[in-house]
Amino acid sequence: MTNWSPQNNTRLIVTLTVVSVILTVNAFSNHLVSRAVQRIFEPLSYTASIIARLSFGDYVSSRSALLEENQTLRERIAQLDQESRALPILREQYASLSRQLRLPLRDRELTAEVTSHILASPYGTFTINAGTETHPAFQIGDLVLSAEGFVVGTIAQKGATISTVRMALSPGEKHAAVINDTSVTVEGNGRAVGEAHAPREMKIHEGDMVLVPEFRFRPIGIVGSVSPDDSGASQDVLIRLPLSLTTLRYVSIVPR
Amino acid sequence: MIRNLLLLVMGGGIFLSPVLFWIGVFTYIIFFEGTELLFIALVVDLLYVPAGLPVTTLCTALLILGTKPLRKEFLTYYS
Repeated sequence: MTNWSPQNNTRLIVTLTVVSVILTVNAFSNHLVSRAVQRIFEPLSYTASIIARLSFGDYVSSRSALLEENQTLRERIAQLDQESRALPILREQYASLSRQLRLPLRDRELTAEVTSHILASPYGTFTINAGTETHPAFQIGDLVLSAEGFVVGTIAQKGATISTVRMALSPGEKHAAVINDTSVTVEGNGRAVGEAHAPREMKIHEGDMVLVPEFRFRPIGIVGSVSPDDSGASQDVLIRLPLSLTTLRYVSIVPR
Repeated sequence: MIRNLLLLVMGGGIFLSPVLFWIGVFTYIIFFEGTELLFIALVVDLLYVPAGLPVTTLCTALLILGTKPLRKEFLTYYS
């Protein structure tokens, strides 16, 4: 333990001043310091994300859980195989419909790797290895999707090789959403969980998709549970992402 | 030794879990002067806040300043 002394006070004042100056410079230089720090710490962050994925995902699993996962993956491969066979036909149909509706054909989705552990940030953000140098096409505000098509977040900051993604269900984030034809406001609670309140008479069930119009009606999660609120006038809806964030490794970026 | 270990825990906490980070911060502030924590908090903010208030740095600064009288009393009593 160390005692407080006038020297400590001076050190504290000097440190506070230096920290304030760095934050001010960062705010007024279009996050230049932020981007430099992200670049410096990227290898550490990436290593930590791999360690977290291994410890939370692969090794701490029982035999039965692994067998179950194996079975799910087999089914998923079969499903993907079917989908991939149907892809050329669907692509042709999409092109034909787009021509009929005179819509511009959407560019191919960009894929990026998650470079920080998703649950590490206290702000509901994470980083991906995509930036102006590697993927010049995407913009701030573009959607970041999981392989299952759920909106994990939006691009919040774009660097040269690293970009920051703000999670769709990060604390304080609000979205106008539609659940089973019912309009609700979803508020993020962090850790891929959100909540909404809906009128009691509306039929909302567990597993219903939560679609967000501002994200082109893409889902931000599913209904995890529905329970009447204390007054009984409305129902509390818990929303969750049906995927493991700790093991999420690749995401795709699509225009908003 | 313990001091360095705590700093290491907090350093790791930045990349793994905010809970780990804050446990380190509280323990460190109780037993040691917390000035260097501000730099760790600054790194957290520069890494993760895309725009907005650097809450981690502000909270750490307030914790250090707020616990100063308590710490002074604690150290006077036990030393």
